[in-house]
Amino acid sequence: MNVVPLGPINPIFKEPIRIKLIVEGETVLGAEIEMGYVHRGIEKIMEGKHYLKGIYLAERVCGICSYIHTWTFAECIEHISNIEVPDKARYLRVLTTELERIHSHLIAISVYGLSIEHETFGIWCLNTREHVMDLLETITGNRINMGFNVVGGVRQDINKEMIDKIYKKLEELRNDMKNILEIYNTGPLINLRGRGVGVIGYKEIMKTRAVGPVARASALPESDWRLRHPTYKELKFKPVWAKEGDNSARTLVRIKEILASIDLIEKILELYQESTGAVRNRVNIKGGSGEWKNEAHRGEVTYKISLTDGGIIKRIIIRSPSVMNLEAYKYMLKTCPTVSDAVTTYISIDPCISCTERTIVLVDKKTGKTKPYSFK
Amino acid sequence: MASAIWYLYELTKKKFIKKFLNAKTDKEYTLPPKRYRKVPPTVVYPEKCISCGACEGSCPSFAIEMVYCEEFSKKIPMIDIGACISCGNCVESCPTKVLNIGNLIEEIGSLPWNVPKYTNLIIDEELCVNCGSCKLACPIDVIEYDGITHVIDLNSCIGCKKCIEACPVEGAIKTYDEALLKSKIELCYKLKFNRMIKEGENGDSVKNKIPEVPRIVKSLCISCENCVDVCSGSIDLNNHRVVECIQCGDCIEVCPTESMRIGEIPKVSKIKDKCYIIYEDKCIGCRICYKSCNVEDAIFISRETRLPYINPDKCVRCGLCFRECPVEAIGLTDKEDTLRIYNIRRAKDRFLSLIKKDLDEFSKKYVFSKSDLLKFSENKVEELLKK
Amino acid sequence: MIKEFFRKRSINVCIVNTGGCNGCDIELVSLLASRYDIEQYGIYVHNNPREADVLLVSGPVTLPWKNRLKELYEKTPEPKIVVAVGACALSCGIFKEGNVCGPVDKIIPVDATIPGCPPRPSEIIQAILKVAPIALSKREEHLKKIASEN
Repeated sequence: MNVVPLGPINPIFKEPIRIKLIVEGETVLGAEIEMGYVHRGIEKIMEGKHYLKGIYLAERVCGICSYIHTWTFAECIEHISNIEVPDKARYLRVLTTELERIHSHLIAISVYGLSIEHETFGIWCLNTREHVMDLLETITGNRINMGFNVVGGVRQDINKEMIDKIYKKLEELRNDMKNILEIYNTGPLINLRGRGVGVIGYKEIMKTRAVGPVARASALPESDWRLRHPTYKELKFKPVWAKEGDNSARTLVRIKEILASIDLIEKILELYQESTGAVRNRVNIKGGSGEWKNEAHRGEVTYKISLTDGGIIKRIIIRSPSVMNLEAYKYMLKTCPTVSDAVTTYISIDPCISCTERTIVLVDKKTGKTKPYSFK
Repeated sequence: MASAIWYLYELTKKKFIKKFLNAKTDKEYTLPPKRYRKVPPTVVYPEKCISCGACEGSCPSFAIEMVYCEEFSKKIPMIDIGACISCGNCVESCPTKVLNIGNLIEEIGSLPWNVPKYTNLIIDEELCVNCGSCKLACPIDVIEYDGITHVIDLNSCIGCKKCIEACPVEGAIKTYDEALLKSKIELCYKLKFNRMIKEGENGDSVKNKIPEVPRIVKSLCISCENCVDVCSGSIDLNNHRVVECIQCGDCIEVCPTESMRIGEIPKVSKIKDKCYIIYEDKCIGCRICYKSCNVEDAIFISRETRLPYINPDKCVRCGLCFRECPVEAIGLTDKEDTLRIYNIRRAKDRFLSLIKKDLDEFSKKYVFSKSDLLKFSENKVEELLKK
Repeated sequence: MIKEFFRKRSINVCIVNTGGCNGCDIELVSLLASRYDIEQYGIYVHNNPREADVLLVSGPVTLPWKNRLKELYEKTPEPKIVVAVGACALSCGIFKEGNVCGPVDKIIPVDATIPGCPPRPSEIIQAILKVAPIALSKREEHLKKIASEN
């Protein structure tokens, strides 16, 4: 038995994390994940701050899925103090989220492509992503960390030019994605590296409570929280799923979800053009506490907030999806023949370390000692 | 090697050639769009700035500092390019549209959106004298009179503290900032955690720390529920009432706005050496000042001259009577002048009231009521009969 | 000889995320896309500090990173340049009160800074291309020094 340490800075990782792989020869027996490199204590900073400052902190929980965090934060506060959001703002929020979902999934696919040593595929996905980033920048004014969402609506309205641009780019994007899907289905190397590697079944998913594309690739379409969201119910949303549960299926689900997102955006734009009114309401924040859930790009994200009058955050708990997905990683390792497959499997669950680094502290009731939670 | 295989594979299918030959980057792709918020925000109209500091308080990353500028002879915002995160909070919260980033100001404008702030302000119901000085001083008109007291709109206040400067009573407008709130919330969780650990052991020692059951001042309460968390009894925050209490005093410690309170707090004026005075030669005796004054025992009506005079010990120098007076008979002078007139008038009043009292009692002694007379006469008749 | 000639004109970049929100990292990764194509300038993004010339540090330095960043800086071969990317690396940005031990220049010397949250890829390319000649001249001096010593 040997231990292969990976990270915190490694050519394959884009984020700092330390993984100790326990190997015998080429076979991976287990893994130990050491975290805490990106822990900034966001929840602690937010205590006692105004909610409009807190929304920018929530945005910076994770740079890739920044918009969904602000959306959940805003909807949680709107839920607490019974604020009605105008129709236009609701549709614009879904539009931006779906665009961000496309960009996040394209990153995941491209990093997966790079990790299986298929650079052309990876770089092509990255280049396709740039068109989505252009759209996000024209709509919101920033590529990442957009600052578009506020409690009570969104900041800016979109105009006719932008709608035309979105339609034009979506058409290009759909052609590109169909190309990528064809390459993915028929390319020899991709399927060779992906099929039957890192398999996780339905039962283990239930045991580890994995969410998002990881769960949906293992025949669990109900895990999509968009089915329970009021705005998505209007759109008659249907989740994408597969039943194999291996690396290939997880990436395939992501590609198909991008195509589904493009359809959703077109529906949303139709609804948006019918609706009228302002995009932002003046709000009156009342104290209280509440909980709200949304489907982020990697799975379900939960916000629990308690507020005072005037909107000062007293306590906030953020549960992000990557924590549960990382737990599922150790069950996938059983079907990884080599170390490089272990790395590929790690990439295929699309882990986001800065999402994961939330405070989990275990408290011993008798002695009063505290210790941070660790994955073993 | 892998990509070479893929190239060959795609070349044979002749699908990639079209993409491959068309590959180029347009120059417009590298140019930012109109809405792009490049850091830092620019100070567009420094001459319009009122130095309120709303941008400084609204910045989540503490990038803005108010620096004295000699050209305009006032404080204008200076933005640290390294710390700015291009969120646009400062642009939104500026009341005079001084700052701009991207084309945010053209699209959304500034106020009246909700304003994030570092220091929050709130008016104390028990100390407020309803003089309306704060309402006059507020640059964005968010202070309203609701029938009982003046109230600052918590959502739109920009935290410029101009009302505190204008307010005549010491401590009538309370402030609570982020650092204070953070420390109070931390203390609250600490106390709550300690209580959870020690549950059922010995809770008797903390009893009766404070002499009486605390009350909740309604206008100061921001319903943060810190007190509910630490309370061993129960507090009804909807009706602002303490239901059960063991007088441990924890709620007074954790309250960020001093809303939990025991005992009376006197109204103390900020100005000590000066006071308002009513010039009796100008006064027409309309008594508008006497009716408008909201402070107890501050203005009396003289018995001798039938004109009002001011008590400098109770007067808070709010200036309401000064503003209301129709003939400008009220002015601001040294405290001693007012005190002299007060002492003279007070002494005369006392003397007059004393004389009146004496006269009353004196007259009582010489006037018999009918029943007394009857009794007296009956008694006399009985005595005579006995004899 | 040929190897040396080409090595003079190529730069290896190592991205170090010291606790940022991923935003700057993603923008750095998207430099690889063929729209910006950072490799056409001879810049190779490879997360290996042992062969890096430029360290691109993004994010506020969190507590576990404090000693590791120093080690990392020492491990990097001598003519080295540190570029701080984004508001967090410059001044801790929004995380000033959090679980961080200060901006990057408090721990290791910083040569160039790129403000923004996050900066656009075109801005990053501009900055790296400005820094690159300095890095190259530094390296040439270093090579000459070694040659004269030998």
